[in-house]
Amino acid sequence: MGLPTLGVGIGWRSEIDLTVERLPGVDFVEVLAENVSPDPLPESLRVLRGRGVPVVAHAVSLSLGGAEPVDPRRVAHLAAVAEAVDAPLVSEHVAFTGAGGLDSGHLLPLPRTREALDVLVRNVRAAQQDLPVPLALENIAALLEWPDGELSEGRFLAELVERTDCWLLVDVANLHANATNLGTEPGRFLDELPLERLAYVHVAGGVRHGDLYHDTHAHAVPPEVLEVLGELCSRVSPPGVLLERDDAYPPDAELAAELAAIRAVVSR
Amino acid sequence: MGELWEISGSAFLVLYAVGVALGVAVVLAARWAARRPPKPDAPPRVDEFDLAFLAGGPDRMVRTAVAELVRTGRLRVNRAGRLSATTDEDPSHPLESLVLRHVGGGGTNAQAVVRACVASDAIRETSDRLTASGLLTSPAAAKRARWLAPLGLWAVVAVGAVRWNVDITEGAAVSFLPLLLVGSVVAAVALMRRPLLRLTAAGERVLDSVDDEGEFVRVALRGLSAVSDPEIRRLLAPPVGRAPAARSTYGTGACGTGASCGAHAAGCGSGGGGS
Repeated sequence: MGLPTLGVGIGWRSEIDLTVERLPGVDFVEVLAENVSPDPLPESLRVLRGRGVPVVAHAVSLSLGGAEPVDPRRVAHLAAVAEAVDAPLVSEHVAFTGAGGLDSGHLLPLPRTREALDVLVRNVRAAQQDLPVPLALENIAALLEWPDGELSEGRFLAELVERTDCWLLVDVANLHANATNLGTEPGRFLDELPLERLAYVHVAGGVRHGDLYHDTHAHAVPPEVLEVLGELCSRVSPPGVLLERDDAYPPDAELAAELAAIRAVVSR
Repeated sequence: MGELWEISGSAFLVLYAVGVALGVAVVLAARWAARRPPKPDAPPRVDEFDLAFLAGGPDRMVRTAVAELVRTGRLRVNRAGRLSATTDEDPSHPLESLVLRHVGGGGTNAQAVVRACVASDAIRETSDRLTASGLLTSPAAAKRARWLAPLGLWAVVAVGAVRWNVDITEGAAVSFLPLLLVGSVVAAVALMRRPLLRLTAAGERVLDSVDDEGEFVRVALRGLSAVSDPEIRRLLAPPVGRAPAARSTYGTGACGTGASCGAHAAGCGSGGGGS
């Protein structure tokens, strides 16, 4: 079964709720599940749903790559939010966020070994059983790369899709960050992915500090990120592309311009 | 038994009434004069923030700044009424700069901004400048007109009270004097309680001559009720039933009770116009 076409959207945040409702060219939104209560839903989300705008529930704390089993309460919350907003799908990251009862507060990269993949697959399957809608998984911007990796990131995700039937959420800003900071090749990554399983795409801004790129979600989307989006779009027509902005929100006109720039790349 | 001061009762009543009328006239003349200060050398030039101050006091001025920043996209308001700045650029008006600095990354609402900014230097500077321009009464003139001018009226009342006391002591008829006394005390108290309009006649003329084209000017003149976007208007307005922000800084207390500070003002410093 396929997923719906989402179009171009923006991350819904309470700080910009009214802006998101009013921005032109918002075909869908994504809500951070950990930040909202499913009952009652924020008024803004009810307004958007009333207009028929699809809302995707996005999670950041399931720690699907962690060695410990997934916390069923976190999965239940994501499921409740998904049902409350009538989400066509939910999404999470290929990462772990803690271990041994400690929370890192960051999305940490997995060792790309077969053993780590087995753990990830086990957790993803467990989460899928309790989720009411399909799950898409996202590549992260890694702070480091574990040694002795057995698979490239693209192959790692491809095998994950094959074994769990999950969908892909490709973050092109994270691809750019990894290319800058770790020397990875976005083109090779995209070549290795089963792009027919692409659910949607994340685009975000960041800032360069010397040789390093910081994926802040608090700066404008740089041209390099849009170039990676263009590279992706040359391979597949993405069902959805979403602009993520989490801080230092610019004026409405700037957000509208970023959405327009994304739409221009997608429509090329 | 002779009459006090060799004045008959009926003659005293007439003199007392004349004295009260003169006392009232002095008060009214002082108030009239306080609102007509000497004309400045150059005709005053006012901007939208000045108009807001003239029309509604410091609250109106701050609310106008907030509404204008929101309208032009430099401030954002969300559904919870929380404001956040969208720009680091420093606006040209010091009050706008102050509002943006106070709001910062967000978390505060319009009411908190008003409370934080009504006593600012930007407000004081505007008040002083408008006073110097003859558009607002000076605090000293307002104080004189409100508190010193009625002293003559109170002196007449004191004379009447003495006469009444002597007449009672001596068993004389005091038919109408108590009524006149009570009436004149009520008049004197009412005159002192009534705040002086801070807006001068020249200030009124400025407001009357304004072309209210553009939302900026309309909000300055009429308050938040002139915000064209109903959602924004609702989110910026004070909560229903909530008392308006403190208004003690509107001038010098001449407007302190909030009755009215100008022909166009919905209320002194009420921030007026909230929906």
